[in-house]
Amino acid sequence: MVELLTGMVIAVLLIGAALVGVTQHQSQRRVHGEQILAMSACRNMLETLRSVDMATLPTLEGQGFEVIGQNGEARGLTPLQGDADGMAGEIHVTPHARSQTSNPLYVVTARVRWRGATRGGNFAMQTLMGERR
Amino acid sequence: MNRQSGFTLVELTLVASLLAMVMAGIATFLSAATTSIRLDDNVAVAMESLQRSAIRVSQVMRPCSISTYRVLSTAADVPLTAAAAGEWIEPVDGESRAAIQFRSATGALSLNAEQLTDPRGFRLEVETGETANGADDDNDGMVDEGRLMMNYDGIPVALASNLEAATFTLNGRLLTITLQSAARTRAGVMQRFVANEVLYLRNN
Repeated sequence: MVELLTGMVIAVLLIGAALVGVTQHQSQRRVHGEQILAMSACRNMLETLRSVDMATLPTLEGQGFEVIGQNGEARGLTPLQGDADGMAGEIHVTPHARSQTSNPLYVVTARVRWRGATRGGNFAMQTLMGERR
Repeated sequence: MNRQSGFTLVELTLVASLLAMVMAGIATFLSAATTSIRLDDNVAVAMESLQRSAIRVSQVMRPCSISTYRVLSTAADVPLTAAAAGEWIEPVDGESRAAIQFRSATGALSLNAEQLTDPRGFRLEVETGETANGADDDNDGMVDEGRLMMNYDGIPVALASNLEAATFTLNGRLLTITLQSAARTRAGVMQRFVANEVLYLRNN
């Protein structure tokens, strides 16, 4: 009787562990999917900014952008609560330490903050932009 | 009389049958769990594969010389912008097209696009068993699916498969590559997803 009960407890623990594993796996899939959306949005935004005139680039500081969803919907990620413009993405443009008036150089960051599978997701990509000579 | 301790045959049989039932239950549960994980993985793998294909297309197109970028005319373009369908014509800003052709900077000279490659191109080829009619002809859940064929210096290469749509949209110097595919979920429903890549064509 004791051995039987022990065996059944072990079986229940095994089933519980498998259940937790499946749930965690699905949760991680969701997290990974959201991260891919954020990464794609940041990459596309930095590419889009390459077409912006260098003189107007600093004016884009703080501008938001939407993250396209996996089905092509306009809003793929939900912004954090209290987000100022209601968009998960944000652009930051700061002059580089070596920036000169005659040769401006900017550190451009595309950042996405969202809530979804995690309580708060965060992804950012950064690049340098300057006038091509 | 010497009474030996142990289990009777009946007790052993009972325990063995109980254990068998418990193990069968565990095995059934684990089988269902792994099937569920596998089906979820199918969708996730399909999405990631689509994303990688879009990135690969953008990598091939990055040295594209924008002045050589052309789109394949359809019947709708006749006679305004093309004499007949199937011609390579100038693109219209903001218009999505499924077949494009371009020449790229060879890269032999840095930042110099004067030397160009032979024409390269992308077009979606519908798979055997499917017809481009907006219907699922082969009953696999996908509509008009096909392969994205790349013509790379005269060599045809299948870059991606199981695509329902592949479009290229030029706005100024920004090219948006959109690939659409689908995969079956655990519930048996087809889940559709899209991969977008934006590319800045800097070569004239």
